[in-house]
Amino acid sequence: MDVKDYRKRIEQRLAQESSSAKSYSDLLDESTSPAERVKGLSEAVGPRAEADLAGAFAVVRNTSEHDDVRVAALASIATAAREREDLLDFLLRLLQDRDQAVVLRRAALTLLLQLRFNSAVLNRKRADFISALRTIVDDPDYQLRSDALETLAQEKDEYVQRRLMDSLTNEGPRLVEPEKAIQLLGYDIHAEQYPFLREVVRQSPSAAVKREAVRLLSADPTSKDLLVDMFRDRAENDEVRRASATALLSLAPEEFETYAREVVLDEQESDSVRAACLSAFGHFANPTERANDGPLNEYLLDLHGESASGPLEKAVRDYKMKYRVE
Amino acid sequence: MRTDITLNGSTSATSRYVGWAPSPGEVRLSDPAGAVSPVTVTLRNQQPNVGGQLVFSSAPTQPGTDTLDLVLPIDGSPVPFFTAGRFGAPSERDADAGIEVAEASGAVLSMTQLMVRVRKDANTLTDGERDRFVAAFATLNNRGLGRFSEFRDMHRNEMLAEAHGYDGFLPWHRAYLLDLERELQGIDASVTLPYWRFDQPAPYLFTVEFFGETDPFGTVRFAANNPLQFWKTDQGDGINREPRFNAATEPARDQFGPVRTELATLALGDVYGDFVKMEGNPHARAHTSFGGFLRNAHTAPKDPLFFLLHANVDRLWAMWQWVKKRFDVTVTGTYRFLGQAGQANAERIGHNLLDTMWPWNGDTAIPRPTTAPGGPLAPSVVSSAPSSMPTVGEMIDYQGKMNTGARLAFDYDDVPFEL
Amino acid sequence: MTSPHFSSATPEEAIAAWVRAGSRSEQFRAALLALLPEQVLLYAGRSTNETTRIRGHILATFERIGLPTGVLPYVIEELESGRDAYLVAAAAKAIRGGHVSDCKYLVPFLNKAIRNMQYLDSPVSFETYKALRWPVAQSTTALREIQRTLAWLNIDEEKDTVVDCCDTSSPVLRTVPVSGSIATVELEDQDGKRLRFSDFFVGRPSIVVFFYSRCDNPNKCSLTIAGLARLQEALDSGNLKDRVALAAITYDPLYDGPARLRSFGEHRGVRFGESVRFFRSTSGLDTLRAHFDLGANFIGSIVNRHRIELFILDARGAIVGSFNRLHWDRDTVLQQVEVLVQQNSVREPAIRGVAVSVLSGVVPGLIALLPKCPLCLGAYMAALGVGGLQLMPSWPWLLPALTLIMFVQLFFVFQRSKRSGRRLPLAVSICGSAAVLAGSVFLTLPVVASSGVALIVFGSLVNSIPRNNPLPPQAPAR
Repeated sequence: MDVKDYRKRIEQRLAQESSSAKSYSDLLDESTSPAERVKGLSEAVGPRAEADLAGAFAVVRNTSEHDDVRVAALASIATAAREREDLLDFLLRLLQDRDQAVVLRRAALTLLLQLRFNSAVLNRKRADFISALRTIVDDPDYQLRSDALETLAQEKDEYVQRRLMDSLTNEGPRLVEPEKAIQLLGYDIHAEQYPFLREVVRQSPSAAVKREAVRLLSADPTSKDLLVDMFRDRAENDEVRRASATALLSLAPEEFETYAREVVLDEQESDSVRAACLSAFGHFANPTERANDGPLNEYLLDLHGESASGPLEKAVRDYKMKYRVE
Repeated sequence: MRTDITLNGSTSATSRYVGWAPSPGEVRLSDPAGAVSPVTVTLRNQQPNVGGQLVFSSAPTQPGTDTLDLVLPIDGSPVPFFTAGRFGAPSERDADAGIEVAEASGAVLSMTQLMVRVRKDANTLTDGERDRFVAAFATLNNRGLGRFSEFRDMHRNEMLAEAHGYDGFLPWHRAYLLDLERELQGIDASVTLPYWRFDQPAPYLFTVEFFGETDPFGTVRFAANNPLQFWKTDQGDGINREPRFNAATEPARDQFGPVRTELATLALGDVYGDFVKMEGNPHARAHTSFGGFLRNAHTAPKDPLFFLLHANVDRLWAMWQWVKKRFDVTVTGTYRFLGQAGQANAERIGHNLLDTMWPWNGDTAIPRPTTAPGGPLAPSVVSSAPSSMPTVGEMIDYQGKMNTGARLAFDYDDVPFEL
Repeated sequence: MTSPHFSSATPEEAIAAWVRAGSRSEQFRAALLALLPEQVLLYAGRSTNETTRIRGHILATFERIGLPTGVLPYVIEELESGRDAYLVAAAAKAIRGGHVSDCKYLVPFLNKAIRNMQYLDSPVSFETYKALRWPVAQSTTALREIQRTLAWLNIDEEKDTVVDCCDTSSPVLRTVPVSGSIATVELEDQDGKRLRFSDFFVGRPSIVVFFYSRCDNPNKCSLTIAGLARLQEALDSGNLKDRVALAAITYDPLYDGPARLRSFGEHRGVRFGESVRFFRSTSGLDTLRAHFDLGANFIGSIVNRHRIELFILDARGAIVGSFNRLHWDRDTVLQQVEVLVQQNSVREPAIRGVAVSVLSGVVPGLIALLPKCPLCLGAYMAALGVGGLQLMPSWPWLLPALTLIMFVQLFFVFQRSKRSGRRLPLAVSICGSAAVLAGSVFLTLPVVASSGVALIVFGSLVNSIPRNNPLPPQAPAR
């Protein structure tokens, strides 16, 4: 590729891009079409002058404007809000104000989440942000609620951990689906949650719920036997079994090796679980032990999955290549 | 008669990797049998138009050509040359490129295999490139026991001011990715860190064979032979990632719309102070296009996709640097503050051109974080830059355009080296 | 008010109510202080969050009831290492239960807490225990409480220089010989090799730290292990490689298998070798806990709270020094170990060896620390306290050591009192020393002995309160 031509092409496209951009004040103007305003505002670098910033706020506050335009106007203040505490406070208030349109409140949350990446000012106001999120944990809007729960869970918030457990054990209102609640607890798993999670694994009829619980139990040495049972139970859902295998590989690698070997050698077993076990061997096992495992290596010479391009076939191929099984 | 080639200061095969920026080499007559006077040889591609392709020059300031004639003294003294990948023709696997040294008669005196190793669009990798990358990344994580945990620990809430919210956002992440890539290359030297072009659909990337598909609850599923199924961070198994867009057919988008396109990002401005606004859109917007780990800076590195997202952010900076010719660290268009912390108008420490960067500098004095995970930046056999405790400034001339010794030995498939 | 017999089964709300109801009295302060060590039964089997809530509630209460000196190590610990907004806020509040002039020395720690909490701050409430809905009527944050305390101290964070007041290591005199069940505790190292406790810890002096890999406070376990790596570098460069053993033992042996031990050490710069090993106990964890009197508690097998702990063992495996709760200083640890190495090389008779090691190794450390900071002294003496004196019947050589410490202390108080012209501190310190000797040597009266310690601490504090300059001129330290 000729670099000079390449440069010329890019520079031409850049020139077009720059010339087609509308000015920020035009985008705030109602005479511009709504579609153009939405697109332009959501991509805009934002207001550079105070007057433009005031104009953007006028659009955000104007209830007669289309919601999409108000949301786009809010998006456009992102760069300005980065260093301005007053704008950040406005966003925090908007987020908690149930009198405002939900779509606008969601936009405020999205913007705050973006600003968490690039606003040192907001990060110094973390406590205010956390407080605002806790306030919307009980919001009637599912999206706001679940986004707040997720962020708080990621921040290891003690309040939200209690609320999630209460939700799961029916001691408090249900906040999100059980699968999601368990997944969120996983951001900061605590020992007192293990007994409940073990019960979930034993009792839940939902494979998704079980799998999420198994993911969390991978940090609990006392759940090892249960994980072995789940892994070895052929009647169990494959996803749950694979999650159990992953958990065991981390928690009790020697036992994983013993049972995984059995699974690989068992032709009645599911290809998916066998492939997962072989993949673990192929990437994380002790090379000397694998190279010396004559019976397994011999067996693998003739092992084929359901299709040549299937996961089992690929896992066998990778294993043989890694340990030079020929 | 026989010749030997030294590349990147070594005769070892481990140093035989080049990008678009010229790598230094030397060729010498190791066996002059039959020669009575200096021998004229030609350096050329071993297999024209197959595998990675090379260009050659006698100085880094000269444009590369497909062949280069050199005169080798009979006493075996080395003759310097430079070689680089031919832009647009990177390797697909290790050692698929080669330098052939031929006599005027056409007799081949030596063949040296190497790789034109550049970072590529993840969506365009071959299956082999994909599988090697995935395997190396899974090994670096090693079920939560590997060195990846240090990279995870470098990017937590309490450390974010080192990396985000100030001008050093781009250089800090460049060092971060380079450190990670060098660790990956320590596992498999043929691997580079691919980038996720978040302004384009990436159907190949978001598959169970590669970086996984998401189930309705935001848990990432992998093929049964994909080692990323054993991914573990912070004692937790697996990855939570919930795209708020159709990852197979759409570019990343959040509630505000799609991320800023590549062109719109390049059009942000001619000077660094304007360009770095991309930390918001597209960077942060790409993050908030997901639920799960990526949505929060504190948890984002728990998802390996984070590093591909940031490779694209870095690529955009590299592309901007190329388009706007911003490699000269003596002008403020390249970087806003050219001094160091403590001077008038300086940014927070770690964000000024002459400041060293945490955690590689090991600095845990206030206001830096209390710990500095990971130690010095991983060295490379291909380049001696940057220093183990790099400054912001060392991240800028990454191709060694202004100073050949500053070359960081990475390139992007679509960002050329241009004299 | 005496402390009720709280057990692990006592509902936390009942404990909180009792704490809330307590009055501003010496007895109540003592009762609350007694609930702060991690080992107390109260915390056994409780979750980390519950443990945090209880401890935070207790710490914050000292603002209302007055701050006894013995609480200072816990306050400093939170300011220095804490990352939980509730506990750090509580620690900042607790300071305001003391006297302004006594607490100026805490400014550097408050500044450390600002650094720790700057991006981790959270809303907390000390009025509503375990809030069920948010917002609550009154809430605050760690940074707000720190600022309030700085304002209370009349310190302007922007203007006043950050100065570290003192070395924060806290050597504690306790010697326990390796004998009986501890000798046979079975350990497994980072390579899966098994051995008995005495196999590794007898034969040369050693330094042992405790940690666990899933500790989510990098200011504790991660920093401890990184510090161990720096100790290793210093030992190697000081030609002490293999003459001093380094070990880290996990609190979490079920989870921290060999691979995890290795990974945690290597990632923090530890280079493993025959004399540098990480262990988990495969049997006898309770024996280990008792032997080292570990400042940790558990829910099931998982740690719910722990302090920073480093122990120095002599060549017989006897504990001759410990640094706990606060960050230890590498050079102070090295200094003590070097003395032990010298003694080990001349092969002193066993008992005398222990005695000399304590006198030569620990006492100089204490003496070195004595004049620098009265609060440190108070903290150390409190840690020493009755527990240390109770060991004395079986370790009669400790008497001269303690006596020496007290006389050194008296000497410094005397000197300072000459400079300042104040006589009260000297008088109080003399009374305190007399009470300690009377209560622990001539009579077995722990109450008298501890009152003596309190008097010494008080004397030291009063003695060190500057009349004009609130901060001693010392070099900033990292």
